[in-house]
Amino acid sequence: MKMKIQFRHHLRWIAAGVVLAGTALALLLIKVEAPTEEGVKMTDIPYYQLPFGLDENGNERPFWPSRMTTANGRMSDPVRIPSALECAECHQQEFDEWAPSLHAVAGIDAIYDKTEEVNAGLLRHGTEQGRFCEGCHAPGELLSGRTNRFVSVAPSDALMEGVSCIACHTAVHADPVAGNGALTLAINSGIDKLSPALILAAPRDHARAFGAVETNDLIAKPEFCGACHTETYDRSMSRAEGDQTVQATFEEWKDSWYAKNDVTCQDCHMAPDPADYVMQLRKGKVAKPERFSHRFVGANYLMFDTSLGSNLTFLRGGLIRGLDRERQNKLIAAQGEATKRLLRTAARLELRGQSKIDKGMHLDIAVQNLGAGHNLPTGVTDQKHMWLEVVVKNAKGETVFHSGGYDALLGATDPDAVAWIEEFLDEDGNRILDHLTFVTAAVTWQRVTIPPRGEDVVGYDIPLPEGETGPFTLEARLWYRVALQEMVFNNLKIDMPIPPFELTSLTSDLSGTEGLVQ
Amino acid sequence: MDITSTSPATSALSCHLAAAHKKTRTWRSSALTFGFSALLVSGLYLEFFAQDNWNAGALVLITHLLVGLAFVALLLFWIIGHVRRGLVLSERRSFTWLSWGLLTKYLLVIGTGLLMAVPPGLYLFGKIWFWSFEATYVLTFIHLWVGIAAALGMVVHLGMRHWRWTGRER
Repeated sequence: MKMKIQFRHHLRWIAAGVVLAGTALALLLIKVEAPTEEGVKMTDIPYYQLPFGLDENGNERPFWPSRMTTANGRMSDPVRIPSALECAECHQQEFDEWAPSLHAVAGIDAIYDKTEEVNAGLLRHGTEQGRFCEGCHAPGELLSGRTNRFVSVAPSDALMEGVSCIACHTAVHADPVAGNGALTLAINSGIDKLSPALILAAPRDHARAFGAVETNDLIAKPEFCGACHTETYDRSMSRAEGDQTVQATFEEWKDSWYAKNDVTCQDCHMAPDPADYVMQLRKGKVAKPERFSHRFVGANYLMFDTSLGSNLTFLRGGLIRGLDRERQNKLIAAQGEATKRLLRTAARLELRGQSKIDKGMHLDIAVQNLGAGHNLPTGVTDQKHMWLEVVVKNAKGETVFHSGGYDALLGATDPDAVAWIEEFLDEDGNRILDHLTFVTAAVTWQRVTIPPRGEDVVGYDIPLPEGETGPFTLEARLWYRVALQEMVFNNLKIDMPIPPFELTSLTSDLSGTEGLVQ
Repeated sequence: MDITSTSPATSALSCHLAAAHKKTRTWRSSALTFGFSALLVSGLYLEFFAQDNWNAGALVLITHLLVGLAFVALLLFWIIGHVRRGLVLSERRSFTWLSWGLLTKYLLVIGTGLLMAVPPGLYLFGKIWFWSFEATYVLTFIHLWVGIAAALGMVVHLGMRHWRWTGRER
């Protein structure tokens, strides 16, 4: 049988196309070299110090005491790390959400920056010890070798951006139990070098470069957040004799109702409206949010308090790059509003019991954690703390008992207030009020933080003046504050009272107190 | 006349057409065959191997886009006349339907390719817009696999007899 003439004719052109294209490709691959191994060898960074020696397997550990590392073990090249502004060219919405967030200022906000500086000044290897902090606060700085007493690596835009796009979107491994920044970032090899036009032409390869499968799967899990939101001290980064957990947000979540119902960190903190989402959870509805926002709304209301004016700009470490002042004020205010709304969903106060005691009355007030998927409060709880203010008034409206007062002028709280706070102690047992982690030897609790869907009942013995009669009324407020006043005064050297935030309040008529003269 | 598209009904006619073909064949269908083969090879490279060397991949991608656009322009000029002439000459229903199937595949490959080229095209005019990741995945999937199916379909289209045997020919 004869071959069809058209087939005979076109076969030649098919062969020509395949051979020519194949040859061109082969030549191209010979001529155009694949990118060499990305990143910088540690030995190529002049004066880079390794004061902490080798790990248990005899390997160098350039980023210790932080557990953060790169996927190929090399230092990153700052000029090759894409800035969030570059990502914003296409991902504007995500940038606008992220830019006012705490993640964006994690490495430059004044409270962090000054406290890290003070800590670094405490010890001989303090600058290198600062790697412990920088891993989570400024991963770009750490991984490019700039956390060193002799800084020989030039900065770049991306390094100033704290926890920026690439800090999450190149992650390939996380260890939430070890914590202390136990993330592996493919920051050298996991980013593509295509121009924006070509990224738009081949977006799947852009996504593939950023590990769309491996990374996207990881960053959707709470284990990923836990790598930084777990902090454990040992002799490497403090005076602690053994492992001492000081921040256990992931562990707090792991055994909770939320974990059992697959409600993750991302579900609440990346929901478009976190407060609405938490209220939905409080009603037992555990559906996932319709999308994940990059605002990472949390509990730090201070960094969004626009009433602080220029002090806020100082606290945030400056203005946001890539946004004009009007837009950033708007975004910061919106984030502040979302933060306050979220905080208001967290707790409730309930008068659990009241009884007469000798020369007074006893009140039991339950402080309930209804909305937080971790303990209340959580995080750096030697600073972030909560206290209860209790006021009992007589029939004339006069205060007969007051505990937990706050002096707005001095930023001071009642030292005898019932407070949920960790106490850092130095080697002599003295309390450290300004987060000097590098000289912390022990950690104790004033009152242990309240687990998710748990409560803590606080008892008050309230002495009443002789002859004081009721009816009495109770006013209780649960206050939250992101830092102790001493920390701001000592580390930032400024006299700026840190305003507390009222999480919830309770007003109750105490006329039912059994046996009490009314 | 594009004689590569006509149907030699008899072997005598086939000989005659073969001779005529040498004289009058147009460059269009040949260029389209050539271009499609090159696009298939470069497309397969982009899909499966470019990630290993994006320095080379970027050049292949640009070439694939430019050749693809030229292919579309040329095909549009050629296909209408080809269908008009070919339909008349197709004497087998199976050939006709397979040819419509092939045309559908080409339109799908071209359509998805053009849709994927919209974002870089807009970027060149200063506007940023792109498909969702899911849409991109679907477009790429169709572009790749229908492209492969179209290549096989083209071989069948070129090799398959489109005329009916007469008793004498058997």
